[in-house]
Amino acid sequence: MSDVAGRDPAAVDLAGRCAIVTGGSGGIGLGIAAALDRRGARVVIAARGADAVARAATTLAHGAGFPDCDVRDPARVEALFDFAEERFGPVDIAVACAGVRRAAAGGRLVPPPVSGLGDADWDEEIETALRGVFHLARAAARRMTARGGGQIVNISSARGGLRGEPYGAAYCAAKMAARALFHSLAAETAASGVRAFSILPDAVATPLIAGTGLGRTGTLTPDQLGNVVADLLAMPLDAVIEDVRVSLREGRPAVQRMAARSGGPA
Amino acid sequence: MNRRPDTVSRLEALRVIVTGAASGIGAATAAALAARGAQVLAVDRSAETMPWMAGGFLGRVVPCTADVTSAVDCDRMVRRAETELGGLDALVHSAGVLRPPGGRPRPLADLEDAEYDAVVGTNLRGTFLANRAALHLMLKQRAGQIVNLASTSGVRGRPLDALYSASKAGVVALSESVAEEVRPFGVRVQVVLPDAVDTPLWKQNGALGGAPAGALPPQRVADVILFCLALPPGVACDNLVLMPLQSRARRAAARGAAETKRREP
Repeated sequence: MSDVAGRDPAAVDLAGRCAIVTGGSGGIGLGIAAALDRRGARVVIAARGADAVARAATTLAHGAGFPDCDVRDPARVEALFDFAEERFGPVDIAVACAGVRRAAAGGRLVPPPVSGLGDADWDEEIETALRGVFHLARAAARRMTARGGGQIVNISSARGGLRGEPYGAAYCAAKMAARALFHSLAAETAASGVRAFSILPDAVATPLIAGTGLGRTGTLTPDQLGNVVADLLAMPLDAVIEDVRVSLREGRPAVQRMAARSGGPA
Repeated sequence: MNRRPDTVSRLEALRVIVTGAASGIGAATAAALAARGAQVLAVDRSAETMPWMAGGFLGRVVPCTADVTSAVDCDRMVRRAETELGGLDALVHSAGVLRPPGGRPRPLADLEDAEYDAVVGTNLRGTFLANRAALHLMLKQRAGQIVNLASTSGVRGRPLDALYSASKAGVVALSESVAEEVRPFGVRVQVVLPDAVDTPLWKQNGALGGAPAGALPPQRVADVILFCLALPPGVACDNLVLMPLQSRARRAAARGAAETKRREP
């Protein structure tokens, strides 16, 4: 039952918790880092580059930055955990949010079909969005199961984490595979009190989707999503919500879309 | 402190109908809402006192006797929210049954027509009637939200629970449809799918006994429902599947053991 203020006493207090967010220097990652920071968590922002990480870290009240963190390098991911532990104590929360920002041509991104997908593009997407997630999940699972507690979050996507979409083969393949990885991980670590789950947001207004045409009908903000993630992490630890789909309920309504289409129901 | 100012302020202003409020998830949700300062119309078909109301929420909770299988009752329930709470911001539709009184787990081939009507009539038709009654008001006021309660049985049917599973699958699909329909009118519809929860629903299994080990406390589902209600406008969580962490661990362990056994020569 709730306490006097209506809070569930079993809720997780995020204050003072040590959290790692990869891809944390911008977009969704920064939104999550900021939301956790507002609740008093000690957040380590990890991302590629040094300037962006330093800039992002200065926006935190309690956190720190870990620069040049390419999640494709398992040694760098281990170093990230060592750094976080040294600064703020054992890692309670690890959020995998690193993604690939593809180069746009002429201000507009034209993602290739499978027939035109280059080896390098495929590799970069899979190495970052799948192998990178694996590196983070493995490091977190090793340390957290040893301690008997912690939370591991995979930022997936409602546009690609649920089924393949045209012109997004590499992205969708990585996102669906990472979600499956988390199903396995969650089942394995639950007995040790470690909760692992994926979040599948609809389009979020970030540099990642700039120029893709996604989000024309409206987008979530990184702040909105960050708060949702923080709320989920604060949920009592005896339960887990699998594959949380977060969608936008504004913008161009489905009814209009249906009316605009000829023909009857599918 | 784990302050959530936005969440709290969004909940304390709410005027909410909670159906199935006499026990289980409905009772836990009504109590949690009242504890956060929401005004609650606590609906159940039995006129029995709701035991949880001894918790001192009487000022913020109005009991209401209504049967969700009756369209007249559902309309009346919404009118009572208007008159007694001064309006309606949200409906939490938790009323549901596992099987009719005196029923027991049986294969589909042995089920009576009346059992279909009792289970599908309460769970699915009840959801339709309660949602429709609330939407008549919410669409007019261009604001409101609904959280329906389904079940993981609605995603994957369980043996000996065909009617319950089918009705909950219906609740999921109904919720998805109506969510898209009413979205342009500022009304948010979400659906929560809990796995096993420790509620009196299991008593409907008769001698077969209560909730399975590791079932979630109903308060946990209430937490998730409040999370849904407190989401900022324009954001929704679709089809939230809520699992006990530990039952999952046991299942994984069982699978692991079976796998090991299978691999042994």
